[in-house]
Amino acid sequence: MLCICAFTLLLMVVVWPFVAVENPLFFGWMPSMLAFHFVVFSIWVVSWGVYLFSKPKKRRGETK
Amino acid sequence: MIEFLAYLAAATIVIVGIGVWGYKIGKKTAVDYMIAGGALGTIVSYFWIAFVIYSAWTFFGFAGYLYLRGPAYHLYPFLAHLGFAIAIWVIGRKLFKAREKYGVITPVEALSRRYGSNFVRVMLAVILITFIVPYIGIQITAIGAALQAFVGLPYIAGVLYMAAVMLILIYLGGMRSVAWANVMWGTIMMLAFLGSLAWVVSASGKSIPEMAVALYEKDPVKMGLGYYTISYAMSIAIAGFTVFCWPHVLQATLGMRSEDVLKKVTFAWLVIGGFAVYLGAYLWGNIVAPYLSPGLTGKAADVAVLVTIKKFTPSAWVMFVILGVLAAAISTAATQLMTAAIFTSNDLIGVARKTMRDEAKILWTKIICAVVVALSTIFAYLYPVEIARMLDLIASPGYSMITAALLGLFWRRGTKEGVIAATIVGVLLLACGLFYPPLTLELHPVVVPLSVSLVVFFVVSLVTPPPPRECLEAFFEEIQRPSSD
Repeated sequence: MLCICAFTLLLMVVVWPFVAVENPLFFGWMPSMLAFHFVVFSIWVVSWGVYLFSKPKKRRGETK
Repeated sequence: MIEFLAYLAAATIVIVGIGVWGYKIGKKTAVDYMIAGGALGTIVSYFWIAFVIYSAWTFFGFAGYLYLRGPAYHLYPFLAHLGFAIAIWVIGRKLFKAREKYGVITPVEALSRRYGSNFVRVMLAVILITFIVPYIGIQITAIGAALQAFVGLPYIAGVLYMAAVMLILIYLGGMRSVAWANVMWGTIMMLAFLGSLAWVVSASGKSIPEMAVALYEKDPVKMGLGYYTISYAMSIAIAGFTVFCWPHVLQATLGMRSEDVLKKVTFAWLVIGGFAVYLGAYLWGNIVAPYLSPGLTGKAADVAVLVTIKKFTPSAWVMFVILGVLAAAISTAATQLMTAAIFTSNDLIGVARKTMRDEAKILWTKIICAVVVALSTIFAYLYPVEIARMLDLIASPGYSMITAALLGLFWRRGTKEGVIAATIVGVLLLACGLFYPPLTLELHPVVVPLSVSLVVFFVVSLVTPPPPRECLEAFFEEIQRPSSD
């Protein structure tokens, strides 16, 4: 979870500003911020969803 | 104006009803009054948290920044969404456990237990209250100005209405009423903000991609990074991320019924924020308003969204949108007001008077609410322009100065000396940066004070004796065990 958050932070904070200067519109119509918004939020929602709602692993020796 | 007054009358009746209902079912204990008995479920908790965060700034300041300077400012709320998710789940869960185990009712009280220091408690309470007051003033100012410009009501009428509604809610039902009122305010705001976006785009006859292409052809820079340097854009993102310190959001986590509620609220926050509210805010500020209402400059850009809505929708809907702005402001300010009052009665007066009955705590909270409302209203009336700058320059960066204290919830070696030194250094640097801007190194005002504060925290903590063993056990081990009752 930490790795995913760090990766997406890097993507948004470090990569987007440089991409936005060179390539403001993706596919000729989509603002780069909009594209990054969708991608990064999708990653967050999926990863947080898995992190929050997956069942915790059983500790060693733990029984039902 | 008649339509607006009709909407306002209906909303006020509902608000008074929520207040009376809160009063009737309230148990008249401090825990019940201040954190709704810690019994709020998922839906009300989501609305409570989300619409504490989405304020009048979503309509005005944020859209205005995007409108004038391009999309890089979107990094602030964008990263703030991650920061708030961390506040609700990662920090909120710790606070929740402290409430379950030790009955703490504010984040400041939890932190004082962690560090075993009343000085830390008083210091953090004073700092947070100081930064909350102008934030409430910002909301009041926004409403006074909006009602004056778009409805024709005198500025003071909007200001006084807002103050009165907040006090009715708080006096009658405490935090429970404030939280439930947010369900109504939040629904109105979402309908007004996102419904208008769909309506205006449809009425304009242009699609959003067509608008984006047209804006790009007119000004490629503004559709790219915008008029920011890359380093400043990055510092905006850092500032956005630091919102996990916002005291009124942390306070709200203490009102939730269970960890399961915390979990669901965190997830709902990310989904609805990411794919509805802030996506809508971005589309409004960066594409739709600049395309349909070009040429606004200076403070006029702050009302670009309202100006655009006025062009494409009938006046009855415009008045509903104004109610939505009012809803956004009240939902934020009422919780902030309650938070500031609780910090004062529980963490300042409560420390000075060791034994205080619940009735006295509630009474103090009400008295302080009235004082804070009066102060904020006076600020809003006398200094509307100065106060508008405070959110970005002072209020949010000010909250971030408790980052070091919060880190101590996860780092056992953090000491009270480290927290005290880090917080004082951070606040002083923030204040100095306001009066002497070169100190900010041309970055967002929070970056330098926060960085220095964190270095001070780690260094001072490592060179001072570790915290008492009993404090660490109470907060790191004992807290994990289920309560016996």
